[in-house]
Amino acid sequence: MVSKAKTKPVHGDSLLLVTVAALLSLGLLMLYSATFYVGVDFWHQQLKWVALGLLVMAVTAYFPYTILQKLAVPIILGTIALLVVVLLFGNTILGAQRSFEILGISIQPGVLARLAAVIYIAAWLATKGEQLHQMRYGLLPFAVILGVLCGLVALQPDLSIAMLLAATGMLMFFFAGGDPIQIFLSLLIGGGVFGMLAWQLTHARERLIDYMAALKDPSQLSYHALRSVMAIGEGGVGGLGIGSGRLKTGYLPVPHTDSIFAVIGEEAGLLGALLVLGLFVYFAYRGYRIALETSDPFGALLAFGVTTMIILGALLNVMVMTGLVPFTGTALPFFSYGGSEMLVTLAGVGLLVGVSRGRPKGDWNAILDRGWRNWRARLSRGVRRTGFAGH
Amino acid sequence: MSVTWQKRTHGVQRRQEAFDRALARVFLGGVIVITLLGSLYLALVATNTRLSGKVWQMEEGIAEWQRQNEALTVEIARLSSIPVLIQRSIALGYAPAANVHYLVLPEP
Amino acid sequence: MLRNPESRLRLISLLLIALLLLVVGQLVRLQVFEHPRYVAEAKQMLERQYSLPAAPMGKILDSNGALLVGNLPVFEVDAYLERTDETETAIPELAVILNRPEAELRTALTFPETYTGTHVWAPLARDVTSDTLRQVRAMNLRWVTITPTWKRYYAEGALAAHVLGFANAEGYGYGVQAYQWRLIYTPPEFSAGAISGQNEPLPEEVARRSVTPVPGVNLRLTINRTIQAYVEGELDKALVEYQAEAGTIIVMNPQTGEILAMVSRPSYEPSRYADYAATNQSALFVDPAISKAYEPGSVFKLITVASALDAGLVDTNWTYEDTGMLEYGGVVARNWDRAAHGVQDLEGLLARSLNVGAATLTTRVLGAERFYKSVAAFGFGQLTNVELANEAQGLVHMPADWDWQDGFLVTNSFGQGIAVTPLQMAAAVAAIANDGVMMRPHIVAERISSDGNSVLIAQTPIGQPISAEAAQTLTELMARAMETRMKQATVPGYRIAGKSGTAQIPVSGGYDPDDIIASFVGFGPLPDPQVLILVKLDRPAIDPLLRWGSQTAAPLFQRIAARLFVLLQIPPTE
Repeated sequence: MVSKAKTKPVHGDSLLLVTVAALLSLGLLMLYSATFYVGVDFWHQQLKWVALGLLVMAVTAYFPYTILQKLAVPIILGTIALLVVVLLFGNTILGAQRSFEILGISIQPGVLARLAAVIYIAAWLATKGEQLHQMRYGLLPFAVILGVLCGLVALQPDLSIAMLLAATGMLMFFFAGGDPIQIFLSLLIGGGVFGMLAWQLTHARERLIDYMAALKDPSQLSYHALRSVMAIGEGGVGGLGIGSGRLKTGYLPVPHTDSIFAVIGEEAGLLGALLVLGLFVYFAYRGYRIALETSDPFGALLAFGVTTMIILGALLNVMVMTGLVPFTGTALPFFSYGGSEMLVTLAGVGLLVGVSRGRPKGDWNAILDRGWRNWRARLSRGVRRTGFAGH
Repeated sequence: MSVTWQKRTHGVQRRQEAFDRALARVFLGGVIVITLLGSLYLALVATNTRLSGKVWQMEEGIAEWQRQNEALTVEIARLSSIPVLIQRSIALGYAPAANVHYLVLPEP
Repeated sequence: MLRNPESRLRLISLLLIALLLLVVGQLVRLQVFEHPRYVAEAKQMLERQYSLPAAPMGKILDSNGALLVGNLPVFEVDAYLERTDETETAIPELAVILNRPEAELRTALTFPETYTGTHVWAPLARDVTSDTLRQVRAMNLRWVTITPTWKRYYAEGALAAHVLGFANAEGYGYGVQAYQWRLIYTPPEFSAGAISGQNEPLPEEVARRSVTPVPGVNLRLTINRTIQAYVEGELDKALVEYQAEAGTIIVMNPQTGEILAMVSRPSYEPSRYADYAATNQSALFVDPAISKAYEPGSVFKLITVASALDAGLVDTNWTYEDTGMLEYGGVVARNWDRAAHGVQDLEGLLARSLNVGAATLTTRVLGAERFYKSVAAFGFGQLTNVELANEAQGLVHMPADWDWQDGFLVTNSFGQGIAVTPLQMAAAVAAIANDGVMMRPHIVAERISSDGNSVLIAQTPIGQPISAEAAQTLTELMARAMETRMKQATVPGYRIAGKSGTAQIPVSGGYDPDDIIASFVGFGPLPDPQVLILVKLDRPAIDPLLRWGSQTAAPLFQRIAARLFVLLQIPPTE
């Protein structure tokens, strides 16, 4: 059984924290560079968001994350409510209802939904166990949950977040032990639904058509993509120099939010872009390592989900900026201007740190007995087709 | 038991973590240095840009003043032009002289 | 296999790494291989022409610094329409503000049916003042562009119209503005450099060049606006009194060559020159004082006598027998009264204005070579290079010319058969007044650049057609002639030298039998003449017996001279 050796409290993953610190500093630096031309207000606001976010991160890091498992249902219901509210009462900007204001602060439930979804899905998957393989208890309810969430977001319409949500969810499902064949089938169906949906929505359809055309002929890229690609290309290997970017002065749309990676490419060049990508890669490494080293399935899934959420967001943004993927408006975590995004990301990082600190003292032995034993037991019996599902 | 559990409870993990923390401290130092340098450089560039923006604005301001100056010059000229002077003299009660005889006086 | 978290994670990581490599590959492709292409594209997009604020043209001032021609800041209002712009609601108000008929405005602002471009540019109004502009700006129309520009402002209306002239954007025009175009005009500058999306130059561009427009050079003229206004008034009165078709008066300082006033009628309003051009009246723009040559008549006898005096071939004692006619080279010269006057000396020749005497001098005393050498030395047949555009050279037949006839030697002696401009005549007589030294007649006294530096135009002598002695002798002869036979031109208290002329006007096949050009040239006060006045009246239509130069131009000269002595504060000398 368990020795009574005194277990000292485990510190959070410090290398992860340093990586996040690096990403945040670079983010603030680049945001300043991208916005000083029009004034420092954006930057000051972002500073406040970062400060608030760090506070939130500290809170969630010391927060006993297991409580979230119990709170998962109210969380998700609350998120769904917010999503409905935004659809009904949201401010319409650029044809989309993504945010609404309370007391002068603009809240974007779509972004919030990503974290809430991760928490809920992690909780849900952690309790399923062996049943994951049965369609009735596994894939179908999951698909319903995911579908509702994505649907509400997609109705805003915000296809990019819906896509990210779906992708994160599917990957979590797979990591938790879902049947690959089921996943593949659902991808097909989901892809089909997505395609139909995209076809219906005019601007999404236009973007798809543009994208198809651009695959054949790069000069057909949409205006925004053309500009961001030009900015990146102009940077060359060494970049023009931080702050000396030229296209951000009115030729590159939204340099402070979506296009900030283009600004990085233009000013810091290939080296800068690779540095940023490298930081994200290292972040992913630390995050996934935490997921693997955690003994608690909920914690593992949570860590995996948060890391994936952040990484996929970054990946999508970078792929859009380099012209590989049809244009969607997504933010680069840690870099783009935006309170909701920053707060949610940092809250997620806090949860990650919390998971890395280990389970709260009280439950340690209990889980160590049960979950841990069952989980690791699977290793030796490699023939069985279940992952840690079915503990 | 498993390697991970052993690591956690038998100090191997602790050592790993201590090393990680030391490494993190070094990295943090590096991040701070790079950020400082970067922000200094950026501040320079930003000041430069701001100044040149001011220069351009001032030059446009000069052009605007020039225009106002010319407008005022024109207005002054109009007010001291011969027709206006004649009008104003008549309004003040002067009349055009018909027969003017000039007296030649010795210089005082 | 896939059945534990590590391997699943491994698979997922592989997937993510694959996507990442795709991104890295794309980055490398963009930033290494295609880097030059994007640099060129960005350069092309960023570096555009941008226009700098237009500089005001140089101002023209009179000799005391009063503004004659200035710049009025105005605006051009144009429309730059995209297809989606909604113009209908704005048209009624705009039509009222800009003072254009609604229908015209509407057609200007509609996209032509077959036009495929994305934008249409239509000029809406020119020379818009700032009040009107405020109203246009208040309408807040996105598709209206406003360009600040300048309009020339003539402070004294039509004063000195021919001298001031005008010039279009290419520098073609009349007067001093056209002549000195390159000085007073700075062309609108365009710079090509990196611009931001808001059309402001980027820092590297601002550092590269200064964008402050440099105004043109201001010119201070020798023209005195008071004298000019006074002389213009006198000429207008004289044209009415003597019913002359046209006239010219030139007032200059013979010792410096400065032109104090130059008036010609008929005239025009330079601020509206386009209107005259549109109604086919552009002939008004030509300045008769420098561009229209005429046969000077008896005034030219001064040159003849000067030439003879200078050659040393005659002096005050020389006489000749006036038989009332002289024949040479197939031409017969007769005096104005067709009478013989007996023995006459130079004073008599001048006082009585005897053609025969003049012809005697050229044919019997001087000879063609010496005479025409003097004529050329006095500047006839050449430009004076005064700073006014479109100066004419006049026409002097020289013995070497292919169309030379001996008869010219006769007629030229009394100023017929030779064409000179009034300014040439004035400048030549000014040489006589100035001890034989001919000063270059000039209009510009000073060039003042916008940074305050000024360049005084030096008064340059351009030759010495006759010796000082000859000039003084001739001056004395002229003065005595005036005192004896032309008192109507003398001013009490001053000693004046002058000569009148009544010239015939050439028409095809001969000369006009009725009309004449009455003129008078005089300077004073002797012995230090500071004023020279040339008066020329074209075709005075009053009684033929009363229209001679001595009866029309001379009294006019006297009035002007008397007044000018006062205006210039020249005290009486006797």
